[in-house]
Amino acid sequence: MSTKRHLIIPGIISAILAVIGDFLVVLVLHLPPGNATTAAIDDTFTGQVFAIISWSVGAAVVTFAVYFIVLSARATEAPAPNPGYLRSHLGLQTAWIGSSVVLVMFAAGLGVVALEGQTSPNLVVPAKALAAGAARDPLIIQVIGQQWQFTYRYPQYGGFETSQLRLPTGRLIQFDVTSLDVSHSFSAYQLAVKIDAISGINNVGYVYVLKPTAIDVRCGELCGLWHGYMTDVGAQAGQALTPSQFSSWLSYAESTYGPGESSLPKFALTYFPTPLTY
Amino acid sequence: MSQTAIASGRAPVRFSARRLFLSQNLLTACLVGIVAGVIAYWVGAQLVTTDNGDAGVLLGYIVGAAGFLITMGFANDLILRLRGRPSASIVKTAEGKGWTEYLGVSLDHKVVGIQFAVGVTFMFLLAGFQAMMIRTDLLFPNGGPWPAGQYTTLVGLHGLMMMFVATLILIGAFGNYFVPLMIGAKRMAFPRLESFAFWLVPLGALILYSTIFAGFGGGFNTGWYLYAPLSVEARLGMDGAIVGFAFIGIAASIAAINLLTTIFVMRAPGMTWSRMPIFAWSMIAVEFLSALAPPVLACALIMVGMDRAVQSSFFEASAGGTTFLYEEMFWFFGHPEVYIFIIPAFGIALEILPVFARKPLFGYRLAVAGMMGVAMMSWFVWNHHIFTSGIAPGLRPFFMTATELISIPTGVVFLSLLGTLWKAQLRFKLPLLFVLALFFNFLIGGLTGVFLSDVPLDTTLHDGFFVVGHFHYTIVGAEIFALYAASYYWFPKFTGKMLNERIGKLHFWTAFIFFNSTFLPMFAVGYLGMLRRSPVYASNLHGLNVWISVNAFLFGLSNLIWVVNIIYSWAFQKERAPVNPWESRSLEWQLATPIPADNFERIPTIVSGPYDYGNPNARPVAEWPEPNSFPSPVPAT
Repeated sequence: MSTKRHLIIPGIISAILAVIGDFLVVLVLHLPPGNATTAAIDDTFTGQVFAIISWSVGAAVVTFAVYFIVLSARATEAPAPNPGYLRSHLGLQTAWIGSSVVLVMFAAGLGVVALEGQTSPNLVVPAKALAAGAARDPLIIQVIGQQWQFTYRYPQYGGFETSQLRLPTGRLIQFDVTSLDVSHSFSAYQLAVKIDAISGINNVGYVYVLKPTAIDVRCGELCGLWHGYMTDVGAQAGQALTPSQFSSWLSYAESTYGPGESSLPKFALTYFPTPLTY
Repeated sequence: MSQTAIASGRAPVRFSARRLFLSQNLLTACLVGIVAGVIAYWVGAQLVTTDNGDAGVLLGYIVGAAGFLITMGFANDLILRLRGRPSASIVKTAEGKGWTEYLGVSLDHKVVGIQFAVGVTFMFLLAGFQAMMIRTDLLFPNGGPWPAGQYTTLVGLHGLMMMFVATLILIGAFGNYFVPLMIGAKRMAFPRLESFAFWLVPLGALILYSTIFAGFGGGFNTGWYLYAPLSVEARLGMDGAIVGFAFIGIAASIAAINLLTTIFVMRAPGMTWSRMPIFAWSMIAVEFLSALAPPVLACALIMVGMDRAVQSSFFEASAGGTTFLYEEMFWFFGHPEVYIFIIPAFGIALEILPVFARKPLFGYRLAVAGMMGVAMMSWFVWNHHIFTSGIAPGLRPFFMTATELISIPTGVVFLSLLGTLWKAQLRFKLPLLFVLALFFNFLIGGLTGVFLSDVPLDTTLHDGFFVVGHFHYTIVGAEIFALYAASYYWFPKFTGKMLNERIGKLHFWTAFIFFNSTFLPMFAVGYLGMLRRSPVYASNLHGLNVWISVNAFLFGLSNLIWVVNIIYSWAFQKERAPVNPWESRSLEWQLATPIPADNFERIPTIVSGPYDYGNPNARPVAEWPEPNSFPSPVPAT
């Protein structure tokens, strides 16, 4: 067979594989983390785009390699020694590098566009929250990491502190994340939020929740002995509530936890607790 | 012998290092090391009383190690020079002292190569055993048989030990052994440093493992990042982890300087840059990283040690320090580090491929440029490890783009693969099978890396099992598969025996299948929200985790098949391997097996490139001077 045919056949096979796989990615493979927040939708979309690119590139490379290998293995007699073997090919190499540049710049562009939604200089998690049309009046929730739990303060409502995350849908949420001791990572899966909690630092991230959902919170950064158990999941899991549910929870929480406020330090962006001394 | 002695025509002055100082004996060195360590521990504990005993432990480890190394004889030459005496000979004269040579300081790069190969393989199996223990724990969704503290120590031991292994196995074993042979040199540029680099490795491993005993701190709980301030607050076991890690970093740096110098200045006549084997090129690319990155790590570790022992508070935010400093320093080392793992794997794969394809390597120059490009760009991507840590937003598009750009020089290696496979006359021997598997694995590892480079998506995938799957696909799937390939390929040169083909086939298929069935599902559990280093995970991921664990055990067993094959073929197989069983053109295969003590009795002149396969008119790669045609440049001793 001619050289051309040996390039066209694997080319066609990999194109077919790419089309089939990409349809499966779009139609069948429902990539997490879902559609509870604008950031989650964004991550799901980006994941799908990357899955399509990866599958297409991977399938093409494997198809060509396997085709060449099979071709060599099926050759009934050893080909005559060929002193003129191709050692390099300027056009091929240029095309290869050129097409990878195009793919890479596309991927980078996609990421940069997604980063556009950022609003604050300390923003950790891009959320496209403002693009979703939210008012510029975020609900501030301070997330405080400590060995080995997260607690949440609501400074706009007197600064009470709870150990369960509750937040409303349909309103821009601003997480102010800090730590009292070692580094933790506030990782709320359904929100597509992961923000490191670092001692002495206030890390800010935004999220815009579209629908009520349970929120699994886990610590993402190894923080010592009970790191694995630093969770807020299952029956105790955090929740995104409808605005009316949230306001009734707020009044309950203020009356329940509010009286304890006097024993808390005054609200601040970072805290340095006095170490215990014996 | 020293060059001055040759130049002046004097008979070389030779000193027995043995007479100079303590005897160079492993047992004596161990005893001296232990005694020195205990004394230093006591002194440190008396000097610094404001800590939890860290100063004593740190001093004990460091002084003990120094005592060991000095007793092994590493200070002898220094002392000779200080006393104005010529240094001892570094030219090997005899055929060696038998197997005891491997237990001491050897100035023969072939001995050091074997020392690295055996020692680091042993470490690999040990750390692999920890992986099995981790997977056993993850059979249970709510914490397995190991208590929480032991689980984090297991994760840390597995991670750190595998870092040691991955840093050193290809460079230490194959770089040290084969680079001088490939470029036509009689020895390495700095044979003493080479041996010094090796002996730091068992010390580092031993110190790391000593931490698991209660008397030495009972483990450490930070994983292999040793993130401050957790590492500053951790128990005494952390001190061992710091010292062990720093030793490996120093060893990697020293080995790198040695290999770089060797390749730059000791190539045989005619070994031009474009005739150099691609494995040697990969060593140049990687050693620039390996020489420059570990010192940054060593500095960070020293700062952690000072924070622990003398309360210097580099990383303690409440006292004016910052955690970011550690994260930045660690990843400034850490990202070049992962390319220290992978570039030698590229080198080995592209070195082996043309030998079994029986045609020239496609795109040799571009592949070299690709490896150099990867090495260069790896300095500009480290912040992608800390996208969620709160770095300045302006940096994120840059580091995201830089990370994605690095896939361009990496992709060039795949073009070399495809171009070489095109119209090849493949010989399906084990080294080729492992190389093909390596490319398949690395393709998956590389493509999943693009997911992680994206800042928004990283918020979902960071710190999770997607990351674990990704880096195991690159490090195990590519680097360890390169180790397998290299072991099957070069074993006849190492030992004079072939590795058994049937056991090897069994090893190949079990390794390839169970590697993929172990690590492919990790992408799924990671995407579904399972985080790293946590013994607890969501109950809906239980089934997948059991699947992963069972396959991980099977993959572990397949590694034992490899070890059995090595032991069986080395010790029990009678039949000697042919001198050049693969019909390779590379210089190391033109030598007799076992390789003469001096490598080349007379240095050959290189007259053509190493990959001219399939060309009946190809010139031989080197011209070997007739024994008596001209005097040897170095008088026979």
